[in-house]
Order: sequence, then C-alpha cells, then structure tokens
Amino acid sequence: MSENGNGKKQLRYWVSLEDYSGDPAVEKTRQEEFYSKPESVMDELDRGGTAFSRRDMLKLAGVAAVFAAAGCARKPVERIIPYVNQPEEIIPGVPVWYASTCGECPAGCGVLVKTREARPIKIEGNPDHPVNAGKLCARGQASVLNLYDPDRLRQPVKLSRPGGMKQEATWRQADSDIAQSLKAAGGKVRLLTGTIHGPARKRLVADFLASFPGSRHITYDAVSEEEIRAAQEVCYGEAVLPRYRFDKADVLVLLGGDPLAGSFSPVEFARGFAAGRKVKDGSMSKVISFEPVLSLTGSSADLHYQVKPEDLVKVALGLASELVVIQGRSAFAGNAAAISALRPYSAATVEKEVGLPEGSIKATTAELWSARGKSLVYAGGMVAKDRSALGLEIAVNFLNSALENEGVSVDGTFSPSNQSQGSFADVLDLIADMRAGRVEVLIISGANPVYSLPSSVGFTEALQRVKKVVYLGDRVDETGELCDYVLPITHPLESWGDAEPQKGVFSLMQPALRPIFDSRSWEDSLFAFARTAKAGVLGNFTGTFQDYLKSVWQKEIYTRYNLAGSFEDFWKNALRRGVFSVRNEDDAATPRRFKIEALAQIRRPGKVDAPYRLSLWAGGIQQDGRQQNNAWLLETPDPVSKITWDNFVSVAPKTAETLGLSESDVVKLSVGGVDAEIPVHIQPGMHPEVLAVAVGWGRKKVGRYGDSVGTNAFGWGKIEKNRLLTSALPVEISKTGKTNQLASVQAHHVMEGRPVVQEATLAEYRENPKAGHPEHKEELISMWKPHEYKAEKWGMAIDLNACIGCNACVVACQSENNVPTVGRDQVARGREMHWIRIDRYYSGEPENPEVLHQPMLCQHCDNAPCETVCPTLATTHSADGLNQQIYNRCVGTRYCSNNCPYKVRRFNFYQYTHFYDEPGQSPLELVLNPDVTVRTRGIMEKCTFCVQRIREGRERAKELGKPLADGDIVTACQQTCPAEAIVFGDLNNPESRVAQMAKEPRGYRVLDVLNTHPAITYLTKIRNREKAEEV
Amino acid sequence: MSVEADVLSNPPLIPPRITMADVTADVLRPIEKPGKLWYLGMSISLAALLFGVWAVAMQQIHGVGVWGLRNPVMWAFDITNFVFWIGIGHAGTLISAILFLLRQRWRTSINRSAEAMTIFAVMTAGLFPLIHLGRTWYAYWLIPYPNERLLWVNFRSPLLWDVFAVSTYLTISLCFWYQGLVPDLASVRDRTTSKLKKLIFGIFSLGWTGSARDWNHYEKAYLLLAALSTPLVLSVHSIVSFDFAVSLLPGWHTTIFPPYFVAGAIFSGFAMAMTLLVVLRRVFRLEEYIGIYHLEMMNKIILVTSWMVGYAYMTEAFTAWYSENPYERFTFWNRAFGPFAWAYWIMVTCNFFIPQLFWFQRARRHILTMFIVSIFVNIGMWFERFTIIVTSLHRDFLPASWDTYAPTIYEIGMTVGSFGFFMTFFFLFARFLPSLSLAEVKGVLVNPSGKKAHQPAEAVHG
Repeated sequence: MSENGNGKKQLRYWVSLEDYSGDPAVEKTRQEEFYSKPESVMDELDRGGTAFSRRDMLKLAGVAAVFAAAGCARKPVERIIPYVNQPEEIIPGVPVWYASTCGECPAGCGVLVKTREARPIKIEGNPDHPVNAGKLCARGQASVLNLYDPDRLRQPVKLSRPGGMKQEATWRQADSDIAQSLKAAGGKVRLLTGTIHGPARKRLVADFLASFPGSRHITYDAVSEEEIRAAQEVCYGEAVLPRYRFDKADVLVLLGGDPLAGSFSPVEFARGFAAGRKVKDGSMSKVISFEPVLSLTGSSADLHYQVKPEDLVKVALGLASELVVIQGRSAFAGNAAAISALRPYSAATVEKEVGLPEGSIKATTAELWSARGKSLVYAGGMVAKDRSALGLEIAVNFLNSALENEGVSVDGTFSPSNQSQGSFADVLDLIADMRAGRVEVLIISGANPVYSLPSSVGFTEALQRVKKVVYLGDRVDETGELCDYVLPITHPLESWGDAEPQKGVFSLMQPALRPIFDSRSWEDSLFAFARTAKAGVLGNFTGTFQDYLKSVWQKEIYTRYNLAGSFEDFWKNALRRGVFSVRNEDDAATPRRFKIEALAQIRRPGKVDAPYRLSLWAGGIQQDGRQQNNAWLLETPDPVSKITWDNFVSVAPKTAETLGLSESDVVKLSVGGVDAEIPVHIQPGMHPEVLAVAVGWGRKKVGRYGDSVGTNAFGWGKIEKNRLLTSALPVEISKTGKTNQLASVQAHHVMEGRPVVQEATLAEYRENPKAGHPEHKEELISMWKPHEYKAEKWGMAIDLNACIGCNACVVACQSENNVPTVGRDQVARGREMHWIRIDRYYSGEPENPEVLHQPMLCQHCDNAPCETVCPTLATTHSADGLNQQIYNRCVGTRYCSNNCPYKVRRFNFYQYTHFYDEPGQSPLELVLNPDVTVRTRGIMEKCTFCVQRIREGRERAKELGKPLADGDIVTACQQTCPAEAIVFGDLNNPESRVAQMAKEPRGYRVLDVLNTHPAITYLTKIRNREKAEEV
Repeated sequence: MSVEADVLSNPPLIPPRITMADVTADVLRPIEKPGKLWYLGMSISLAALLFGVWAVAMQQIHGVGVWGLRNPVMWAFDITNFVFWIGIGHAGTLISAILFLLRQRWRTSINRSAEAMTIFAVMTAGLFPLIHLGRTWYAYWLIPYPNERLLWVNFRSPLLWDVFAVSTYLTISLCFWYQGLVPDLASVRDRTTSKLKKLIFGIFSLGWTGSARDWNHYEKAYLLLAALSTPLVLSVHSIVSFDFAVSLLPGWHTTIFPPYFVAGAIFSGFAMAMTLLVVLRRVFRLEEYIGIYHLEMMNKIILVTSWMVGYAYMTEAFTAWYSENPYERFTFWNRAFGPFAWAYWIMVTCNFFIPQLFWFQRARRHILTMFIVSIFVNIGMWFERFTIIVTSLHRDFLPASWDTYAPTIYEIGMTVGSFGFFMTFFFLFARFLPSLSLAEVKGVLVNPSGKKAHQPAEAVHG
C-alpha cells in the first residue's frame, strides 16, 4: 500500500511475491516490456513461455507478410531423399574405394576406384599393383568419363543387314536367336576379340569354344606388337612378348619405338624410364634415339638422330656390326655366322647410307658396351612396322643378347608380358574363312575391325557372307552397325573380370557400381549364349561370370600355388588388394641363348622408291581410337605437337618449305590409291622425307564428341605378305587449297632466351650442381608484410628431368577438379581450362631440336601478383600458403590473370560446365567430384593444390589424433604422375621430401626475379652428354 | 574590364559588333528551333547506340566469350575504350577549371561544351568497367558497403581506386557544369513561351534572379569548385594509369605512366573537343563565338601535349633499353616490330607526326586541317591504349602462353556504340541546353550594349 498525493491510501497491485518485495529485476523487466529484443523473445519461447506482446505479434506478422510477398519466386524443386535403409558401407560424404583393373587397354594396370554415394568419380592407380605401382596414364584417368558417356548403348539392338534398320530387342529374344544360330553353325563359329588375358577370361573363352566344337578364337589388336613376338620366336624359340625393364637400362637406345606413349605398357615403361632419368649421385641414364618422327620418348632423349623408317634396321645392324665385327666385342665376337651377316653394315657405310653424322654409330656402340648388362635396345610401335620390321626386331634381339641385356632388361622367361597378343595373320585367315562361307556365327568383342582395318583387306564385304554377326560393344559403332545384334556391354567399372598382364601378376576387376544401363558384360553374354544353347561346360554352369571367375581363381591360383588359409580369405584379400602377384620382384630372368641362324632371316633392307614415305603412329592419348568419344582425351593436347581435337600430318620444317605448306593447310595424302585429306602440322624434329599421321582418329560412329573428328589413318595401312605395314609407305602429297585451323594449346614454341626451363649437361652438373641457373638476384624489398606460416606451408617440387610430358597429370586434374572441356573452337581461341598444362619448348635447330617439357600450374606465390589486384578480394592467401580463389566472390575483372606472370589462371568465358550438366548430357553429370565447386560463367579459376584433398587429409589426421605426416596428402597430378616428377608437401617441415628438393642445388623457381616467391621449385633439366651443343 | 588586357595583346575574342542580345539569340537558337543537321546527327548517333546496345546485350546474355579475348589477353577493347573515354573527359575539366584559374578568357566560348563532353565521356567510360565484368550483376561488390557477410573490398587494388577516382570525378564535374549552367538556365526560363519549359527550367535555375548577391555567391562557388576539380584533372588519369603501372607486366609496369597518361588525356580531350566544336559551330552557326582564335589556342595545346606524349614514347623505349631488363626490352621491341606493330605506328604517326603540322600558323587556323588532325589524334589516342593493353599482354613472361588477339563484331559494336552513346548525349545537350556559356561570353564582349560602336570611353561617361 502506498499513499497518493491526497494522502489517501491507494491499493497496490502485485502479481508475484518478487513484485511485491520491490525486486529491481522485476522493475527492469517491467520497463522493458515494450522494448523486448527478439533474442529475449526467442529465449522466452525456448523456455516455453509466451513472450509475445501484441506489438511483437504485429511486427512479426508484418515481416512475415513482406517475406511471403517477396519470396514468391518459384524455386526449382530440389529433392534430397534420405536413405530409408542406409546401405552398408555407404556414408554420405565419405568415399568408398574399390580395387580393380583398368579396362581401357590390355596393359592391365591396377586401379583404385573412388566412389561417392555409390558412384565412381575418380580412378587412381593401385599402389600395390606391380605393373603401375599406383600410377596411371591419361587414358586410365579418363576412363571414368566413359562410364557416364551419354552415347553408350542403353539396350540391346537388332539390326537388319544390309541397310542397318535398327530396332530394339530384348535380351531373351537376342539370346535365343543367337543360341539357335550357334547350335546350327556346326562349329563354324568365330570369336574375334582384342587381347585377352587373365585366367578366368581365358578359361571362359576356351570353355566357350569347347562348347561349340570347331569354333575358333582370333585375337586382333589394331595397334599390335606382333613383330616383337615373331622375332622372339625366331631368335629364342618362343613367341613371347618380353617384359622390357626400362628401370634396369642405364643406356637406352630407341630405334623407332615410343614405349612411353601408345605402347603396350606405357605406365610401367614410363615409371622405369623416369626412374633412370632422375639424377642420383651424379649419374643418370642416357637415352639415344634413332627415329623418323619426334616421338614422346624421343623428346626426352639426350641424343637424337633422324632416320627414315626403312633405315632403322640398317642402324641396328650397323650397331651390331661395329660391336661384333669391328670392335670384336661380346660373346659373338669371332662367330663366323654373325660376322658374315653383319660385315656389310660397317658403321661408315651405314652412316653414309642413312645420313647419320660421322662417328655416331661408333659412339652409340661405345655407350652401349660400357653399360652392357645395364642397357636396352628397344624397337617397336607402328613407326617400326615397315617391310623390314621383323629384321629390325631380330637385329635388336641380337644386340640385346650381345650386350648381355637378355635376361636383365629384357625378360622373356621369368615374367613375360601378355599385354599384346593380336595376330594380323589370324585376322586375314578369318577374313578368308568368312569369304569362303566357313563362318556362320561371328561374335566380335573389344575390337572394331571395320574402323581399324584398311579397307583393302575386305573385312566389310566378308562380313556380309556371315550368317549371324553379334557385336558385344558399348555403342553401335562402325563395326556394330554392320552386325545383326549389338548387345551393350558394361563398362569395366561395372564388370567382373581379371587380368594377367605379366606372368604371375593376377589382377582382379570388380564392379564399383551396378550397371547404369541395361547392359551385360561380354563374359556374361557368352555365358548366356552357351546357357541358352545348353552347350558344353558353360551351358551347365549355374551362376554368373562372377561365380565362374571365383571358381577359376580357386582352381588356377589358390589351388595351383598351394596357398595357406581358406579360399574365402584369399578371395577377400585379393578383392581388397585388387591384385595377387606370385612374382618375386627380386628374382631375375634367365638369359636365353640367341640362335645365331636368326640373323640370316634379316632381309636385305630395300629402298622406298618415293620422295616421301608415310609413317603411322599411335599416341598415348588416343592410341587406337577406342576412347574417341571421351571429351577429356580429345581436349588433352598431343604431348609433342600440343594440338587438340584433331590429328594431322606432321611435316618437317624443311619439307614444308619445299612443298610450300604452312600450318593448318589441308593436304591430300595418297597411299596406294587410298586418299584422304588432312591438315598439316609443321613438326620440328621430323625426318625431312617422312610424313607422319597418328592413328586413332576419324571415327564415324562413336558419339557426339568424337564423330568425324580427325582422319582415320588406319585406312592407309598396307597389306604385304600377310603382314600389315604401317610405316615407310610411299605417299603422294598434294595441296587442296583449303585450311583447317588446328586447335593448339600453345602458339609459341621457343623460350626466347628466357630462363624458364633451366638446363645443364651432366658434365656441367657434376662440376657445379647449380649449373644452368642464372646468377641469383638479390632479394628485393616488398611493400607488404610477408605472410606468416605458423603450421604448414604447402609447396611443390617438380623434377624436370623426370617429367616425360605425357599429360597424365592434366587429365587427373581434370577428373579431380571438375575442369570442364571447352571444345575445339574454344581451344583454338585460346580458352582451354586445364589447371595444369605442360609447356613444351624447342631449342636448337628446327631440323633436330631439343625438347623441354615443363608442367605449369599455379605457383601459389608468397607475393602473389593476383592477390593484390583483385578489387573484391576474391583471391587471397591462406594461412598454409595456398593462393585461394573464392569463386562466389569473383566478379570477373580478369585483372588477376593479366597480372599473373605464369598465366595459369583460367577464365570461364562461357558457361562451360554445360558440358556436364545440360539435360541431354545425362548421366555425364555423375562424374563430377562433389567435393569441388562447379564454376559458372564469368569467373576465374585455377589450380588449388587440390585443397579438398588437403582438408580431407587434415580432417583424417585430426580424427586419428596424429600429426600430418609427409606424404599423407598428395595432389591429383602428383598421385598419377608415372614419372613421379611431382612432389607435394609441407615446406615448413624440413624432413619432408618437398622441402629437401626445394633445397637441392638444382632447385630453382621460375621467374624469381619478379620477387613473386613461388611455392613451386623446379629442378634443372640435366642432359646426359658432354657438350651442350652436341646433338 | 579585365578583358582589356586581352584586347591589348590579341584581337577581340568575339567580333565587336556582337551584342548581349545577339549572344542570347544566337546561342539559344538551337534550343528553340533545331536545324535539319541536328536531326541527321541525332539519327546517326542513335543508330550507333543501338548497335552498341545489341552488342553489349549479346555479351551480357552469352558471356564475355563472344569477345575475342583469350588466355593471355584478358583485356582489349573493353579497357581500351574505358581509358580512351576517361582521357576524353579530361579536356573539359582542364578548360573549365585550370584555364579559369589561370584567367584564360578565351575559354569562355568553349568551356560549356567541353564540360558537357567531359561528363558524357566519363559516363561512357564508366560503362566499360561494368560491361567488361564476367558477372556484371555483381558490380556493386566493388563498393565498400557494410553487409551481413562482413565482406570488404581490397584497397590494394587499383581497380578499386578507379571506382573512387572516376565516381568522384563524375560528381565534381557534374556539379561544376551544373553550377555554370544556372544563370543560363535562367535566361532560357525567361525567354521561353512554353509553360512546361518554364517550369522545368524554372526548377533547374534554382530561382536565379541575376542580382548582385546571386552573382557574388555564384562567382565564389564557381571558384571553389574550380579549385576542387583542378587536382582531379591530374589525379583521375594518374589513378587510371595505376591499373597498369601497379601491375608487374612489362609494358605496364613503368613509373612514367601517371604524367604520360595525364598528358595523353589532355591531348585526346582537346582533340575531341576540337572535333566537336568544329561541328558544333558549323551546325549551330556559332562561328562568330567559337572563332579561329579559340581554335588556334586549342591547337597550340594539342601541339604541346603531342610533344609530351611523343616524349613519353621515347622515354619508354629508352628506359626499356637502359634497364637491361630482357622482358621490358622485348616488349618494346615487340610493340614496334611485332605482330601489332601496325597499331604502334598508327599511334606514333597520329599522335606525334601529324600534329607537327600545327607548327604552321596556316594549319592552326585552317578549319578542315584542324578537323582532320583532331580526328587523327582521336584515332591515335585510341590506338595508344590498345597498344599498351594488347601488345603488353599478348606476349608476356612465359613464351609458352604467348598468343594473339583479334576483336569480334561484338567488341566493334560495343566501341561504335560507345561513340553513339556519347554523341547521343551530346546532341541532346546541344538541343536542350545552351551550348555556350551565355553569362561568360557576355563577359568578354567588347561592346555589350551594341550602342555607338568604337565610341571613345570618355564620351560614354560624358
């Protein structure tokens, strides 16, 4: 009770005891009644109270009405559907890895498939696999894109021949029809495939053939190494494909081969080759190449000589003659047969005839002999496939035996290769059988003969004589459209399978997801045919190819090698590791005896009676063209010419001048009546009398990206004496007056005397390990305070000696970082998006240049020129040394790119990601890495040092409670680099490999005169020769 | 009268027979009755503008990819046009402010149109930083405004300095121009018979009465604004030049850029003013107000600034050689003899060799000659910016990234459109506002009242 002014007592109202007692808190609350903040309202609500005052209620109602009115734009419906039943092993956001085998070529590299939410997004090499040891080539990296190729066949198709009317078919219908034909064929069944190895697959083929007695299996490889096998048979008695050990070759002499690209085991060879190129204790391998074209391997050679393809055999014989006859060295010295066979090829004669510099043969022989037992002479590939190819391989075998390399760097007994088994003669037999009506059912799988055989063999016509042709393929391609049935096969990532690329190395292929389309593996199709026909072993086998595979592995591996433990354990372990090897890597091969009479089989090399000869070659990106619908690969530059999206005829600069040709002129090449038009590329380092064209292009029926891209060079192949010749083909070249602008990613090819790639000879390096660096400039002052790196400072080191320029890193980066492809037109306009590129420079004379490969990516400079100029702070420096690009803050002034001395920033001129996400492209969008933002048009992007991998590695370390160790985090480019040229790590950790390399005397930073302080150290390129100018 | 000093040394700026009434009538004639030539000019300008609108619309719809830009050349026509128009914008302020402070009375006939030119040129220039962005719709991110995401801008970036420099310049120029217009707007207001015009001009003339108080305030404010804009003449183009000078690209990274750009800007601004005035005086029959004397003075400035830019070209080349920096040396060699040598030599010829004609008085006073020379200077100055931007970018540090550049129809359209945009505004200005400063011209008349020409002074007093 209180008193009012009148002295009259007034009633006092109170609501609680606190109120009554005059608590100041209550008083405060009462005063704030109409000023209550939203938080307090929310707090009150949280406490379960009802704190809404009338005023708040009205305010909120007003705001809600405004929001409702403003937010009326219709948003596209997006559904996030949670798992009703969480599948085992799948945790959203956490990748699941499967060990498998790469199915893109028969090299049989082991892969680890990274899946996210049950879809594969990236393929990496399997480190446990003896063939590729965790590394992968560009094609392997790109394989995951083929899985989601929108042009894959989605259901079985029946075609009417001729005419090609397509109609959908059911599996049941197709199986019963084919089974009927198989039963009725009476053994007139042929199975045409590419190289197959792996115990279960081989057993399956054998069982299938046995189910239809009289049938035969023909192996056909469009790019084959059958001369090597044939020469092995002549020289050593068995037709094996040896395993070449480039890692054991201190001196390597190449006679027209390109082992690092387009060969039968490129990753393995690149690994071995690069291991020898790295400078260890002041020494490194020496590579001498004799070749008609500038191949990728040749581009890394210390010495290179140009010879015509038909002269390669003379060079080989010249080397042998010098060694055995003149110098009287090796086990064959004094061997009468050898002397009589080799005497005509004295070094002087050969040098004169072939046009080599005087003394080159003698010097090469001396190098080889001094490294006997640790050297290798290698010949192969399409460029060596001329008339004298067999003789060349025999001479090479002789050299390797004489140099005691047999059994060391040439392994023909211990673990020879199964990676290329095609036989052209068998294909010719097949065609003859087909013509003669001796084939009623032809099943084709993993081969595209209509595309890759020259039309003169008449495969297409012969096909019409076959009653039933079944094509097991992933699209109705050139061969498929001439068949009765095209049955879609699964992608290797959807399939079970196995491989035995080299004796004793058993590799498993397991599916990483269920087939996306209504498709079936070719193995299961063979099963289905046999089962429907109720024929033979396969007809009685219950189960799928998966069960069959398991049973074969049990019989042929588990039981055969008497393995301990249960089979289930063995099987699970093999599945987990992806590979089971019984090869002891320390065991050596046994040298075989060279049959000296083989030398007599070398035919006197003939002359090519034409001013120019054509050599076909298989590159490492397209190889035989089976992946020509893969836009990643189409846009990957050819490592030497740097041209994308086309093939071309390479012409030496002098020849171009003689013929009046300039770059991108279209010429007509005519080889034995087969004409085709193709643009010209002027290629330094070509022999002036040689023209060269890559195979694997010009497919007609491959899909939206690859159709009619380039010219099919397989068509120029020539048949002679049951052999396919792809080199030294007399060719006529004529101008057409047209031009076809080639899309090159590089427009300038010499370094203009700038110290971009720094190089020295081995002799100079031994004298001064810092040789090749220009004098170091003094430290410049900076306007800004330097960054502090309290924990890690990420950096990279790139060994230019190891880098072979193969472009595997480019595709790996593309796959990891959702880098879009832009198409030929945009590449021609200089807008390719690759975050890492290989700059290729020439030095010396255009006739015979030196080649330098330099991977170039964001240098993550400490004093980054891009960071200071961005007005919106869209590119900044992280606490661990990364130069970060913040996509959603970028407005696209492009100033950063103008100010970047390395020009590694990439601008989205258009909405390039439509490549992935436009409606018609489905299911291509599934290939995108969910950890990496997809960039829109109008913004800048660039290498992030795979920041998502760094963060993932850090999270993992945190989870395990361990500090980050060196090597825990690898970038995508480093991960796949077959040459192991790229090392990434923490520069603040003095023990890390990258920090060690950064301190090496060979280490230098590109354009360090600009005071940018790049985080990437390059190691000087060392040439293994005496003088700088000696070539 | 202060004008007498001029009268002593030079012939009168305006023919003595012109009276104040003549000035008002002659200058306001186009506003009241435009001629056929005006309609012709306006149509051409609008057509050019439309072409530009189409080109820019296509670029905004599809992306910067419609231009010919490619990896090493990320700027070309866009920034060339920006710098070109900013440069054009310089003469106006120079004429209005600096010449005002220096008491150069001959400026009175040309300052209004030169100021208008400045504003329209800066407006045109201001479009390009917006257009050239990859994501134009986020252009406002360059402005430091408080936001809920706590994002800020990069004060180290010259592009940000541009935002401030250009917007300040536009604001001050606009104020300056508008203030100068106020007495003239009042004249229009007083003369017009249309009610609507009376209302509009009445509002914009801010109640001007022409009293001594008005004039007193007016003169003070004008002087202040002139003093305020003078440093801007120097600062704006210096800052624009920082876009290049602050980078590390050879050919851009040079300390000579700020004075070189300012001289170039004045040079190009005077040339553009010359082009416009020659047309204006003809179309609107203002030959007596914009006399040969005025034009000759401008030509002298053109000659002086031509030497300044010529000197800058020589200095650049000398520094490149003297620095022994291989990148720098190469860039200058490449400019003069590389694939874009034609652009370089167009620049040198138009900016340095051709203006040397102005050593001769006959050339300085010959209308057609000065018109042609001014056109050449405009071309040359456009190519100067093109050369600086494209030849430096297309061959920078790593030879592997060297490439070339060629414009597309969209860039050409954008450039033509920028002229259309500028000219459209200029024609509108000439049609609706007094293109000469009535008040100031009246100040330099020899015989303002028109009575008893050449009468001795004492007779008037008597």
